[in-house]
Amino acid sequence: MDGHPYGYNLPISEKTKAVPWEEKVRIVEEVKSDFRFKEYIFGCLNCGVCTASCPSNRFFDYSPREIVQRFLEEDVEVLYDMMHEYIWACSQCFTCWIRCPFVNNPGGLVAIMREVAVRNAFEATKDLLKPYGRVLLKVMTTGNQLSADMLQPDFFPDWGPKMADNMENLRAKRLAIPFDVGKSVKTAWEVSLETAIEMYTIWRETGIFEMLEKLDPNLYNVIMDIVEENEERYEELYEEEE
Amino acid sequence: MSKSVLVIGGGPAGLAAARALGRLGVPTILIEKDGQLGGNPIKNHYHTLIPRKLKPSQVIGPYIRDVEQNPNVKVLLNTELTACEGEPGSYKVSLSNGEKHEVGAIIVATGFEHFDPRRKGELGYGLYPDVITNLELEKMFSQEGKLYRPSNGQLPKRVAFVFCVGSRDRQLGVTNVHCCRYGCALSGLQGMEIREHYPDVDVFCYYMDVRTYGTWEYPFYWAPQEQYGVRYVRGRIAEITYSPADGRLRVKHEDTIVQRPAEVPMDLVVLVLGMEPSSGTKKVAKILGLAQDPDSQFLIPSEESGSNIVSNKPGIFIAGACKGPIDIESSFSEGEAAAAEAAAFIGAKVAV
Repeated sequence: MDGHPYGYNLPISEKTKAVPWEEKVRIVEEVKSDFRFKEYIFGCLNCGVCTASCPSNRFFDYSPREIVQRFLEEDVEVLYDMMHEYIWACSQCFTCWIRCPFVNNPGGLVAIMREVAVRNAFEATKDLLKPYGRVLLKVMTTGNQLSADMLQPDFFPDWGPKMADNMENLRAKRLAIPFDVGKSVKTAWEVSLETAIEMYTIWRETGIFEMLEKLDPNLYNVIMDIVEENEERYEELYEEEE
Repeated sequence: MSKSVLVIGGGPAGLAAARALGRLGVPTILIEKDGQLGGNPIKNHYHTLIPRKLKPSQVIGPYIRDVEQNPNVKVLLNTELTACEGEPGSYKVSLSNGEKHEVGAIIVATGFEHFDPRRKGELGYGLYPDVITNLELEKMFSQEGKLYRPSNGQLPKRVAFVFCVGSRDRQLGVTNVHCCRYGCALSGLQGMEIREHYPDVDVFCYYMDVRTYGTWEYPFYWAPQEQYGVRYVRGRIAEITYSPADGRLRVKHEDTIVQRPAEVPMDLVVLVLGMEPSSGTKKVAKILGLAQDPDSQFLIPSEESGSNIVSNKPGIFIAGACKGPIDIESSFSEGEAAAAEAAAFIGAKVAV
Protein backbone atom coordinates (compact mmCIF):
# COMPACT_ATOMS: atom_id res chain seq x y z
CA MET A 1 0.00 0.00 0.00
CA ASP A 2 2.97 2.25 0.42
CA GLY A 3 1.54 4.71 2.88
CA HIS A 4 -1.83 4.91 1.17
CA PRO A 5 -4.16 2.97 3.39
CA TYR A 6 -7.23 3.20 1.17
CA GLY A 7 -8.49 4.06 -2.25
CA TYR A 8 -5.53 4.71 -4.47
CA ASN A 9 -4.15 1.26 -4.02
CA LEU A 10 -1.37 1.41 -6.55
CA PRO A 11 1.99 1.84 -4.91
CA ILE A 12 3.67 5.11 -5.80
CA SER A 13 5.98 4.25 -8.65
CA GLU A 14 9.73 4.40 -8.26
CA LYS A 15 9.80 6.89 -11.12
CA THR A 16 7.49 9.27 -9.28
CA LYS A 17 9.54 8.91 -6.11
CA ALA A 18 12.70 9.80 -8.01
CA VAL A 19 11.23 13.05 -9.35
CA PRO A 20 12.21 16.10 -7.24
CA TRP A 21 9.41 17.35 -5.00
CA GLU A 22 9.48 20.83 -6.55
CA GLU A 23 8.85 19.36 -9.99
CA LYS A 24 5.82 17.42 -8.74
CA VAL A 25 4.47 20.56 -7.12
CA ARG A 26 5.01 22.49 -10.35
CA ILE A 27 3.03 19.92 -12.36
CA VAL A 28 0.12 19.83 -9.90
CA GLU A 29 0.11 23.63 -9.75
CA GLU A 30 -0.06 23.72 -13.53
CA VAL A 31 -3.22 21.62 -13.35
CA LYS A 32 -4.70 23.80 -10.61
CA SER A 33 -3.96 27.03 -12.42
CA ASP A 34 -5.98 25.97 -15.46
CA PHE A 35 -8.89 28.35 -15.92
CA ARG A 36 -11.38 25.48 -15.78
CA PHE A 37 -10.13 24.06 -12.51
CA LYS A 38 -12.28 26.26 -10.23
CA GLU A 39 -15.41 25.31 -12.14
CA TYR A 40 -14.69 21.62 -11.91
CA ILE A 41 -14.24 21.16 -8.17
CA PHE A 42 -16.29 22.53 -5.28
CA GLY A 43 -16.61 20.30 -2.24
CA CYS A 44 -17.04 16.58 -1.72
CA LEU A 45 -19.16 14.53 0.65
CA ASN A 46 -17.53 11.28 -0.39
CA CYS A 47 -20.97 10.01 -1.38
CA GLY A 48 -19.57 7.80 -4.12
CA VAL A 49 -22.17 8.60 -6.77
CA CYS A 50 -19.43 9.40 -9.30
CA THR A 51 -17.57 6.16 -8.79
CA ALA A 52 -20.75 4.09 -8.69
CA SER A 53 -21.81 5.66 -12.01
CA CYS A 54 -18.39 5.35 -13.62
CA PRO A 55 -18.15 2.81 -16.46
CA SER A 56 -14.36 2.71 -16.23
CA ASN A 57 -14.58 1.91 -12.54
CA ARG A 58 -16.17 -1.42 -13.45
CA PHE A 59 -13.15 -2.54 -15.42
CA PHE A 60 -10.15 -0.63 -14.16
CA ASP A 61 -8.53 0.51 -10.98
CA TYR A 62 -9.96 3.99 -11.45
CA SER A 63 -12.28 6.03 -9.25
CA PRO A 64 -13.41 9.60 -10.01
CA ARG A 65 -14.03 10.17 -6.30
CA GLU A 66 -10.36 9.45 -5.72
CA ILE A 67 -9.40 12.21 -8.16
CA VAL A 68 -11.57 14.79 -6.38
CA GLN A 69 -10.43 13.69 -2.92
CA ARG A 70 -6.75 13.84 -3.85
CA PHE A 71 -7.16 17.38 -5.13
CA LEU A 72 -9.01 18.43 -1.99
CA GLU A 73 -6.26 16.83 0.11
CA GLU A 74 -3.62 18.39 -2.15
CA ASP A 75 -1.86 15.06 -2.28
CA VAL A 76 0.86 16.08 -4.71
CA GLU A 77 2.67 12.75 -4.72
CA VAL A 78 -0.43 10.74 -5.62
CA LEU A 79 -1.73 13.27 -8.14
CA TYR A 80 1.59 13.30 -9.94
CA ASP A 81 1.69 9.52 -9.94
CA MET A 82 -1.92 9.28 -11.17
CA MET A 83 -1.02 11.30 -14.26
CA HIS A 84 1.17 8.49 -15.57
CA GLU A 85 -1.35 5.70 -15.72
CA TYR A 86 -4.37 6.02 -13.43
CA ILE A 87 -6.14 8.92 -15.15
CA TRP A 88 -5.87 7.32 -18.58
CA ALA A 89 -8.51 4.75 -17.64
CA CYS A 90 -11.18 7.47 -17.66
CA SER A 91 -13.38 7.21 -20.76
CA GLN A 92 -14.35 10.92 -20.62
CA CYS A 93 -18.09 10.14 -20.58
CA PHE A 94 -18.70 12.72 -17.80
CA THR A 95 -21.40 10.69 -16.08
CA CYS A 96 -19.61 11.61 -12.84
CA TRP A 97 -20.26 15.26 -13.66
CA ILE A 98 -23.98 14.90 -14.38
CA ARG A 99 -24.54 12.86 -11.21
CA CYS A 100 -22.38 14.62 -8.60
CA PRO A 101 -24.55 16.43 -6.02
CA PHE A 102 -21.91 19.17 -5.85
CA VAL A 103 -21.65 19.27 -9.65
CA ASN A 104 -17.95 18.51 -9.43
CA ASN A 105 -16.45 17.39 -12.71
CA PRO A 106 -13.90 14.63 -12.07
CA GLY A 107 -13.80 13.81 -15.80
CA GLY A 108 -12.97 17.45 -16.48
CA LEU A 109 -10.17 17.35 -13.91
CA VAL A 110 -8.82 14.31 -15.71
CA ALA A 111 -8.97 16.20 -19.01
CA ILE A 112 -6.84 18.99 -17.54
CA MET A 113 -4.41 16.49 -16.01
CA ARG A 114 -4.05 14.78 -19.39
CA GLU A 115 -3.35 18.05 -21.14
CA VAL A 116 -0.70 18.93 -18.59
CA ALA A 117 0.82 15.46 -18.94
CA VAL A 118 0.98 15.87 -22.72
CA ARG A 119 2.35 19.42 -22.51
CA ASN A 120 5.08 18.21 -20.22
CA ALA A 121 5.86 15.23 -22.43
CA PHE A 122 5.33 12.59 -19.78
CA GLU A 123 6.79 9.28 -20.87
CA ALA A 124 3.41 7.69 -20.23
CA THR A 125 1.66 9.93 -22.71
CA LYS A 126 4.15 8.94 -25.38
CA ASP A 127 3.41 5.28 -24.79
CA LEU A 128 -0.31 5.88 -24.62
CA LEU A 129 -0.40 7.85 -27.85
CA LYS A 130 1.70 5.40 -29.84
CA PRO A 131 -1.20 3.21 -31.03
CA TYR A 132 -2.98 6.35 -32.20
CA GLY A 133 -0.21 7.58 -34.51
CA ARG A 134 -2.20 6.78 -37.64
CA VAL A 135 -5.32 8.46 -36.32
CA LEU A 136 -3.31 11.47 -35.21
CA LEU A 137 -1.73 11.75 -38.65
CA LYS A 138 -5.15 11.75 -40.31
CA VAL A 139 -6.75 14.17 -37.88
CA MET A 140 -3.92 16.68 -37.92
CA THR A 141 -3.43 16.71 -41.68
CA THR A 142 -6.98 16.25 -42.96
CA GLY A 143 -9.33 16.72 -40.01
CA ASN A 144 -10.63 13.23 -40.68
CA GLN A 145 -10.37 10.73 -37.89
CA LEU A 146 -10.70 7.61 -40.00
CA SER A 147 -10.51 6.85 -43.67
CA ALA A 148 -11.08 3.82 -45.83
CA ASP A 149 -7.38 3.12 -46.30
CA MET A 150 -6.90 2.80 -42.56
CA LEU A 151 -8.96 -0.37 -42.53
CA GLN A 152 -6.29 -2.96 -43.03
CA PRO A 153 -6.87 -6.66 -42.48
CA ASP A 154 -4.13 -7.22 -39.93
CA PHE A 155 -5.26 -4.24 -37.86
CA PHE A 156 -8.63 -5.67 -36.98
CA PRO A 157 -8.29 -9.44 -36.64
CA ASP A 158 -11.33 -9.47 -34.35
CA TRP A 159 -13.52 -8.32 -37.24
CA GLY A 160 -13.30 -11.79 -38.77
CA PRO A 161 -11.83 -13.34 -41.92
CA LYS A 162 -14.26 -11.58 -44.29
CA MET A 163 -12.63 -8.26 -43.57
CA ALA A 164 -9.55 -9.14 -45.64
CA ASP A 165 -11.75 -9.48 -48.74
CA ASN A 166 -13.50 -6.22 -47.99
CA MET A 167 -10.20 -4.40 -47.99
CA GLU A 168 -9.44 -5.35 -51.61
CA ASN A 169 -10.09 -2.90 -54.40
CA LEU A 170 -11.05 -0.20 -51.92
CA ARG A 171 -10.93 2.54 -54.50
CA ALA A 172 -13.37 0.77 -56.83
CA LYS A 173 -15.70 0.06 -53.95
CA ARG A 174 -15.64 3.66 -52.83
CA LEU A 175 -16.42 4.86 -56.34
CA ALA A 176 -19.37 2.45 -56.48
CA ILE A 177 -21.05 4.13 -53.50
CA PRO A 178 -24.10 5.81 -55.07
CA PHE A 179 -23.74 9.12 -53.23
CA ASP A 180 -20.92 11.58 -52.90
CA VAL A 181 -18.36 10.57 -50.29
CA GLY A 182 -15.50 12.36 -51.93
CA LYS A 183 -14.59 9.23 -53.85
CA SER A 184 -11.35 9.14 -51.92
CA VAL A 185 -9.78 6.33 -49.93
CA LYS A 186 -7.47 8.66 -48.08
CA THR A 187 -10.19 10.65 -46.35
CA ALA A 188 -13.72 9.89 -45.21
CA TRP A 189 -14.97 13.07 -46.84
CA GLU A 190 -13.35 15.72 -48.95
CA VAL A 191 -11.44 18.45 -47.11
CA SER A 192 -10.82 21.65 -49.01
CA LEU A 193 -7.35 23.14 -48.95
CA GLU A 194 -8.74 26.30 -47.31
CA THR A 195 -10.20 24.24 -44.48
CA ALA A 196 -6.95 22.37 -44.01
CA ILE A 197 -4.97 25.62 -43.87
CA GLU A 198 -7.34 27.06 -41.27
CA MET A 199 -6.94 23.91 -39.23
CA TYR A 200 -3.13 24.11 -39.37
CA THR A 201 -3.37 27.71 -38.22
CA ILE A 202 -5.34 26.53 -35.17
CA TRP A 203 -2.78 23.80 -34.43
CA ARG A 204 0.00 26.33 -34.70
CA GLU A 205 -1.64 29.09 -32.64
CA THR A 206 -2.74 26.75 -29.83
CA GLY A 207 0.61 25.06 -29.50
CA ILE A 208 -0.55 21.66 -30.70
CA PHE A 209 2.38 21.30 -33.11
CA GLU A 210 4.84 22.09 -30.32
CA MET A 211 3.14 19.57 -28.08
CA LEU A 212 3.41 16.92 -30.76
CA GLU A 213 7.06 17.70 -31.44
CA LYS A 214 7.87 16.88 -27.83
CA LEU A 215 5.74 13.75 -27.78
CA ASP A 216 6.65 12.11 -31.05
CA PRO A 217 9.34 13.83 -33.17
CA ASN A 218 9.03 11.28 -36.00
CA LEU A 219 5.29 11.70 -36.34
CA TYR A 220 5.79 15.45 -36.05
CA ASN A 221 8.18 15.41 -39.02
CA VAL A 222 5.82 13.33 -41.16
CA ILE A 223 2.90 15.63 -40.34
CA MET A 224 4.91 18.80 -40.88
CA ASP A 225 5.99 17.58 -44.33
CA ILE A 226 2.35 17.28 -45.36
CA VAL A 227 1.40 20.54 -43.67
CA GLU A 228 4.19 22.46 -45.36
CA GLU A 229 3.41 20.90 -48.71
CA ASN A 230 -0.24 21.97 -48.42
CA GLU A 231 0.75 25.42 -47.26
CA GLU A 232 3.01 25.81 -50.27
CA ARG A 233 0.20 24.71 -52.58
CA TYR A 234 -2.07 27.23 -50.95
CA GLU A 235 0.49 29.99 -51.33
CA GLU A 236 0.87 29.21 -55.02
CA LEU A 237 -2.89 29.23 -55.57
CA TYR A 238 -3.17 32.50 -53.69
CA GLU A 239 -0.43 34.10 -55.79
CA GLU A 240 -2.04 32.88 -59.02
CA GLU A 241 -5.33 34.46 -58.02
CA GLU A 242 -3.61 37.75 -57.34
CA MET B 1 -55.81 48.88 14.52
CA SER B 2 -57.86 45.80 13.81
CA LYS B 3 -57.98 43.35 16.69
CA SER B 4 -58.19 40.18 14.65
CA VAL B 5 -55.51 37.93 13.14
CA LEU B 6 -55.43 35.99 9.87
CA VAL B 7 -53.65 32.63 9.96
CA ILE B 8 -52.77 31.23 6.53
CA GLY B 9 -52.41 27.46 6.47
CA GLY B 10 -54.09 24.72 8.51
CA GLY B 11 -51.07 22.46 9.06
CA PRO B 12 -49.27 22.00 12.38
CA ALA B 13 -47.86 25.57 12.57
CA GLY B 14 -51.11 27.25 11.52
CA LEU B 15 -53.23 25.09 13.82
CA ALA B 16 -50.95 25.83 16.76
CA ALA B 17 -51.07 29.57 16.03
CA ALA B 18 -54.86 29.59 15.67
CA ARG B 19 -55.36 27.51 18.80
CA ALA B 20 -53.12 29.75 20.88
CA LEU B 21 -54.79 32.92 19.57
CA GLY B 22 -58.24 31.46 20.21
CA ARG B 23 -57.28 30.60 23.76
CA LEU B 24 -55.95 34.13 24.27
CA GLY B 25 -59.34 35.43 23.15
CA VAL B 26 -58.10 36.97 19.91
CA PRO B 27 -60.60 36.82 17.02
CA THR B 28 -58.85 34.64 14.46
CA ILE B 29 -59.54 33.58 10.89
CA LEU B 30 -57.81 30.36 9.83
CA ILE B 31 -57.77 29.73 6.10
CA GLU B 32 -56.73 26.41 4.55
CA LYS B 33 -56.61 25.73 0.83
CA ASP B 34 -57.44 22.02 1.21
CA GLY B 35 -60.75 20.58 2.30
CA GLN B 36 -59.45 19.48 5.71
CA LEU B 37 -57.22 20.67 8.52
CA GLY B 38 -53.99 18.99 9.57
CA GLY B 39 -51.65 19.72 6.69
CA ASN B 40 -49.29 17.20 5.14
CA PRO B 41 -49.36 14.65 8.02
CA ILE B 42 -53.15 14.25 7.73
CA LYS B 43 -53.44 14.70 3.98
CA ASN B 44 -50.70 12.17 3.27
CA HIS B 45 -51.81 9.67 5.93
CA TYR B 46 -48.61 9.64 7.98
CA HIS B 47 -48.44 6.52 10.13
CA THR B 48 -46.18 7.31 13.09
CA LEU B 49 -44.62 10.67 13.88
CA ILE B 50 -41.08 11.34 14.98
CA PRO B 51 -39.85 11.85 17.64
CA ARG B 52 -42.47 10.62 20.12
CA LYS B 53 -43.73 7.78 17.94
CA LEU B 54 -47.33 8.92 18.32
CA LYS B 55 -50.07 8.74 15.70
CA PRO B 56 -51.08 11.93 13.86
CA SER B 57 -54.49 11.66 15.48
CA GLN B 58 -52.82 11.76 18.90
CA VAL B 59 -50.59 14.73 18.11
CA ILE B 60 -52.52 16.83 15.61
CA GLY B 61 -56.00 15.63 16.61
CA PRO B 62 -56.21 17.75 19.78
CA TYR B 63 -55.16 20.87 17.89
CA ILE B 64 -57.80 20.33 15.19
CA ARG B 65 -60.49 19.66 17.81
CA ASP B 66 -59.61 22.73 19.87
CA VAL B 67 -59.48 24.99 16.83
CA GLU B 68 -62.81 23.76 15.55
CA GLN B 69 -64.45 24.14 18.96
CA ASN B 70 -63.05 27.54 19.88
CA PRO B 71 -65.64 30.28 19.16
CA ASN B 72 -62.86 32.84 18.59
CA VAL B 73 -61.51 30.90 15.61
CA LYS B 74 -63.31 31.00 12.29
CA VAL B 75 -62.08 28.14 10.07
CA LEU B 76 -62.41 28.61 6.31
CA LEU B 77 -61.56 25.49 4.29
CA ASN B 78 -60.88 25.46 0.53
CA THR B 79 -59.88 29.09 0.88
CA GLU B 80 -56.77 30.94 -0.21
CA LEU B 81 -55.43 34.46 0.13
CA THR B 82 -55.80 36.33 -3.16
CA ALA B 83 -54.77 39.88 -2.30
CA CYS B 84 -53.62 42.07 0.55
CA GLU B 85 -53.69 45.85 0.86
CA GLY B 86 -53.44 48.38 3.65
CA GLU B 87 -51.03 49.16 6.43
CA PRO B 88 -49.52 47.11 9.23
CA GLY B 89 -52.22 46.92 11.89
CA SER B 90 -55.01 47.11 9.33
CA TYR B 91 -54.31 44.76 6.49
CA LYS B 92 -57.26 44.41 4.12
CA VAL B 93 -57.18 40.86 2.86
CA SER B 94 -59.19 39.32 0.03
CA LEU B 95 -59.93 35.62 0.08
CA SER B 96 -60.72 33.21 -2.74
CA ASN B 97 -64.25 32.70 -1.38
CA GLY B 98 -64.98 36.38 -2.06
CA GLU B 99 -64.78 37.50 1.57
CA LYS B 100 -62.80 40.57 2.54
CA HIS B 101 -61.52 41.15 6.05
CA GLU B 102 -59.52 43.73 7.91
CA VAL B 103 -56.92 42.13 10.17
CA GLY B 104 -54.33 43.54 12.53
CA ALA B 105 -51.73 40.87 11.87
CA ILE B 106 -51.08 37.89 9.64
CA ILE B 107 -49.41 34.59 10.45
CA VAL B 108 -48.06 32.75 7.44
CA ALA B 109 -47.89 28.99 7.93
CA THR B 110 -48.09 27.80 4.36
CA GLY B 111 -45.68 24.92 4.72
CA PHE B 112 -43.80 22.72 2.31
CA GLU B 113 -44.29 20.18 -0.44
CA HIS B 114 -42.48 16.89 -0.86
CA PHE B 115 -39.97 16.63 -3.68
CA ASP B 116 -41.25 14.96 -6.85
CA PRO B 117 -38.82 12.03 -7.36
CA ARG B 118 -39.63 11.83 -11.08
CA ARG B 119 -37.13 14.66 -11.38
CA LYS B 120 -34.37 12.17 -10.50
CA GLY B 121 -34.87 9.91 -13.50
CA GLU B 122 -31.97 7.63 -12.65
CA LEU B 123 -33.84 6.40 -9.58
CA GLY B 124 -36.58 4.84 -11.67
CA TYR B 125 -39.56 6.19 -9.77
CA GLY B 126 -42.67 5.95 -11.93
CA LEU B 127 -40.86 3.42 -14.09
CA TYR B 128 -40.49 0.48 -11.70
CA PRO B 129 -43.51 -0.14 -9.45
CA ASP B 130 -41.32 -1.38 -6.60
CA VAL B 131 -39.59 1.97 -6.30
CA ILE B 132 -41.84 3.87 -3.89
CA THR B 133 -41.57 7.02 -1.79
CA ASN B 134 -41.39 7.14 1.99
CA LEU B 135 -44.81 8.82 1.84
CA GLU B 136 -46.22 5.80 0.03
CA LEU B 137 -44.65 3.53 2.65
CA GLU B 138 -46.31 5.56 5.43
CA LYS B 139 -49.61 5.22 3.61
CA MET B 140 -49.03 1.49 3.15
CA PHE B 141 -48.60 1.16 6.92
CA SER B 142 -51.43 3.47 7.91
CA GLN B 143 -54.05 2.60 5.31
CA GLU B 144 -53.34 -1.03 4.45
CA GLY B 145 -51.48 -2.20 7.52
CA LYS B 146 -49.05 -4.37 5.63
CA LEU B 147 -45.79 -4.27 3.72
CA TYR B 148 -45.80 -5.50 0.14
CA ARG B 149 -44.21 -5.05 -3.26
CA PRO B 150 -46.58 -3.10 -5.53
CA SER B 151 -45.48 -5.21 -8.51
CA ASN B 152 -46.80 -8.50 -7.14
CA GLY B 153 -48.31 -7.93 -3.72
CA GLN B 154 -45.71 -10.18 -2.07
CA LEU B 155 -43.70 -9.45 1.04
CA PRO B 156 -40.27 -8.08 0.01
CA LYS B 157 -37.17 -9.92 1.23
CA ARG B 158 -34.84 -6.95 0.95
CA VAL B 159 -35.82 -3.31 1.40
CA ALA B 160 -33.56 -0.33 0.69
CA PHE B 161 -33.99 3.24 1.89
CA VAL B 162 -32.40 5.80 -0.42
CA PHE B 163 -31.59 8.93 1.58
CA CYS B 164 -31.47 12.53 0.33
CA VAL B 165 -33.71 12.23 -2.75
CA GLY B 166 -34.23 15.85 -3.75
CA SER B 167 -32.06 17.08 -0.89
CA ARG B 168 -28.42 18.16 -0.83
CA ASP B 169 -28.29 17.95 -4.59
CA ARG B 170 -27.03 20.76 -6.78
CA GLN B 171 -27.84 18.77 -9.90
CA LEU B 172 -31.42 19.94 -9.34
CA GLY B 173 -30.22 23.53 -9.15
CA VAL B 174 -29.54 25.81 -6.21
CA THR B 175 -33.11 25.18 -5.00
CA ASN B 176 -32.40 21.75 -3.53
CA VAL B 177 -29.11 22.08 -1.73
CA HIS B 178 -30.67 22.08 1.76
CA CYS B 179 -31.08 19.05 4.03
CA CYS B 180 -34.61 17.76 4.69
CA ARG B 181 -33.89 17.23 8.41
CA TYR B 182 -36.55 14.54 8.95
CA GLY B 183 -35.46 11.88 6.44
CA CYS B 184 -32.78 10.09 8.43
CA ALA B 185 -34.93 9.83 11.54
CA LEU B 186 -38.07 8.76 9.70
CA SER B 187 -36.14 6.10 7.78
CA GLY B 188 -34.75 4.73 11.04
CA LEU B 189 -38.29 4.61 12.39
CA GLN B 190 -39.73 3.00 9.27
CA GLY B 191 -36.87 0.50 9.23
CA MET B 192 -37.62 -0.44 12.84
CA GLU B 193 -41.31 -0.79 12.07
CA ILE B 194 -40.54 -3.16 9.20
CA ARG B 195 -38.11 -5.23 11.28
CA GLU B 196 -40.51 -5.36 14.20
CA HIS B 197 -43.36 -6.80 12.15
CA TYR B 198 -41.33 -8.74 9.61
CA PRO B 199 -38.09 -9.89 11.27
CA ASP B 200 -37.07 -11.83 8.15
CA VAL B 201 -37.03 -8.75 5.93
CA ASP B 202 -33.57 -7.26 5.51
CA VAL B 203 -33.54 -3.48 5.67
CA PHE B 204 -30.68 -1.35 4.29
CA CYS B 205 -30.25 2.39 4.62
CA TYR B 206 -28.01 4.08 2.03
CA TYR B 207 -26.76 7.37 3.38
CA MET B 208 -24.21 10.13 2.83
CA ASP B 209 -24.24 10.91 6.50
CA VAL B 210 -26.90 10.31 9.11
CA ARG B 211 -28.38 13.49 10.56
CA THR B 212 -30.48 12.34 13.49
CA TYR B 213 -29.60 15.51 15.30
CA GLY B 214 -29.97 16.24 19.02
CA THR B 215 -31.85 13.68 21.05
CA TRP B 216 -32.87 11.77 17.94
CA GLU B 217 -29.49 10.04 17.70
CA TYR B 218 -30.24 7.05 19.90
CA PRO B 219 -33.90 6.36 19.06
CA PHE B 220 -33.56 6.80 15.30
CA TYR B 221 -29.98 5.81 14.49
CA TRP B 222 -28.50 3.61 17.14
CA ALA B 223 -31.66 1.73 18.10
CA PRO B 224 -32.48 0.72 14.50
CA GLN B 225 -29.03 -0.89 14.33
CA GLU B 226 -28.64 -2.23 17.87
CA GLN B 227 -32.16 -3.35 18.54
CA TYR B 228 -33.66 -4.04 15.14
CA GLY B 229 -30.75 -4.98 12.89
CA VAL B 230 -31.31 -2.28 10.30
CA ARG B 231 -28.12 -2.06 8.20
CA TYR B 232 -26.50 1.21 7.28
CA VAL B 233 -24.34 1.42 4.15
CA ARG B 234 -22.45 4.58 3.38
CA GLY B 235 -22.86 5.70 -0.21
CA ARG B 236 -25.35 7.62 -2.25
CA ILE B 237 -27.40 5.54 -4.69
CA ALA B 238 -26.23 6.32 -8.22
CA GLU B 239 -29.02 4.59 -10.08
CA ILE B 240 -31.75 2.01 -9.77
CA THR B 241 -32.36 -0.54 -12.48
CA TYR B 242 -34.48 -3.61 -12.90
CA SER B 243 -33.47 -7.14 -13.82
CA PRO B 244 -36.10 -9.05 -15.78
CA ALA B 245 -34.15 -12.24 -14.99
CA ASP B 246 -35.27 -12.29 -11.37
CA GLY B 247 -37.85 -9.49 -11.36
CA ARG B 248 -35.89 -7.59 -8.71
CA LEU B 249 -34.47 -4.11 -8.60
CA ARG B 250 -30.75 -3.36 -8.57
CA VAL B 251 -29.35 -0.49 -6.59
CA LYS B 252 -25.98 0.77 -7.69
CA HIS B 253 -23.67 2.58 -5.33
CA GLU B 254 -20.18 2.74 -3.99
CA ASP B 255 -19.71 1.65 -0.41
CA THR B 256 -17.43 4.54 0.37
CA ILE B 257 -16.29 3.19 3.71
CA VAL B 258 -15.02 -0.17 2.54
CA GLN B 259 -14.21 1.31 -0.90
CA ARG B 260 -16.22 -1.09 -2.96
CA PRO B 261 -18.55 -0.44 -5.88
CA ALA B 262 -21.66 -2.59 -5.67
CA GLU B 263 -24.87 -3.38 -7.44
CA VAL B 264 -27.20 -5.26 -5.14
CA PRO B 265 -30.64 -6.82 -5.61
CA MET B 266 -33.59 -5.29 -3.75
CA ASP B 267 -37.29 -6.09 -3.73
CA LEU B 268 -38.55 -2.74 -2.55
CA VAL B 269 -36.76 0.61 -2.71
CA VAL B 270 -38.01 3.52 -0.63
CA LEU B 271 -37.01 7.03 -1.73
CA VAL B 272 -36.61 9.44 1.18
CA LEU B 273 -38.06 12.66 -0.18
CA GLY B 274 -36.75 16.15 0.39
CA MET B 275 -38.80 19.22 1.20
CA GLU B 276 -39.48 22.23 -0.99
CA PRO B 277 -41.49 25.37 -0.26
CA SER B 278 -45.14 24.71 -1.13
CA SER B 279 -46.75 26.47 -4.07
CA GLY B 280 -48.86 28.26 -1.43
CA THR B 281 -45.74 29.54 0.29
CA LYS B 282 -44.37 30.98 -2.96
CA LYS B 283 -47.75 32.51 -3.82
CA VAL B 284 -48.30 34.09 -0.41
CA ALA B 285 -44.72 35.41 -0.37
CA LYS B 286 -45.49 37.25 -3.58
CA ILE B 287 -48.83 38.65 -2.39
CA LEU B 288 -47.45 39.83 0.95
CA GLY B 289 -43.98 40.81 -0.30
CA LEU B 290 -42.15 38.49 2.07
CA ALA B 291 -38.42 37.94 1.87
CA GLN B 292 -37.39 34.61 0.43
CA ASP B 293 -34.10 32.78 0.38
CA PRO B 294 -32.77 33.40 -3.13
CA ASP B 295 -31.77 29.77 -3.56
CA SER B 296 -34.34 27.57 -1.83
CA GLN B 297 -37.23 30.12 -2.02
CA PHE B 298 -38.16 29.39 1.61
CA LEU B 299 -39.26 32.43 3.63
CA ILE B 300 -36.64 34.14 5.75
CA PRO B 301 -37.17 36.18 8.92
CA SER B 302 -36.20 39.81 9.28
CA GLU B 303 -32.60 40.39 10.26
CA GLU B 304 -33.33 43.41 12.47
CA SER B 305 -35.67 41.66 14.88
CA GLY B 306 -33.33 38.81 15.74
CA SER B 307 -36.42 36.66 15.93
CA ASN B 308 -37.01 33.58 13.86
CA ILE B 309 -40.75 34.34 13.63
CA VAL B 310 -40.85 38.01 12.62
CA SER B 311 -40.95 38.60 8.87
CA ASN B 312 -39.60 41.57 6.95
CA LYS B 313 -43.15 43.04 6.92
CA PRO B 314 -44.39 44.56 10.20
CA GLY B 315 -47.35 42.62 11.53
CA ILE B 316 -46.66 39.55 9.43
CA PHE B 317 -45.20 36.52 11.18
CA ILE B 318 -43.87 33.33 9.65
CA ALA B 319 -43.95 29.90 11.24
CA GLY B 320 -43.25 26.27 10.39
CA ALA B 321 -42.08 24.62 7.18
CA CYS B 322 -42.62 27.69 4.99
CA LYS B 323 -39.20 28.75 6.33
CA GLY B 324 -37.44 25.47 5.64
CA PRO B 325 -37.53 21.83 6.63
CA ILE B 326 -38.74 21.38 10.19
CA ASP B 327 -40.24 18.64 12.31
CA ILE B 328 -43.89 18.67 13.35
CA GLU B 329 -43.36 19.42 17.02
CA SER B 330 -41.11 22.39 16.28
CA SER B 331 -43.76 23.61 13.87
CA PHE B 332 -46.27 23.62 16.72
CA SER B 333 -43.85 25.62 18.85
CA GLU B 334 -43.26 28.15 16.10
CA GLY B 335 -46.98 28.53 15.52
CA GLU B 336 -47.48 29.20 19.20
CA ALA B 337 -44.60 31.68 19.26
CA ALA B 338 -46.06 33.46 16.23
CA ALA B 339 -49.42 33.68 18.01
CA ALA B 340 -47.77 35.40 20.97
CA GLU B 341 -45.96 37.83 18.65
CA ALA B 342 -49.17 38.58 16.72
CA ALA B 343 -51.18 39.12 19.89
CA ALA B 344 -48.53 41.51 21.17
CA PHE B 345 -48.42 43.33 17.85
CA ILE B 346 -52.14 44.09 17.78
CA GLY B 347 -52.07 44.99 21.45
CA ALA B 348 -54.68 42.40 22.28
CA LYS B 349 -56.07 42.42 25.79
CA VAL B 350 -55.76 38.74 26.38
CA ALA B 351 -58.24 36.67 28.31
CA VAL B 352 -56.73 35.46 31.57
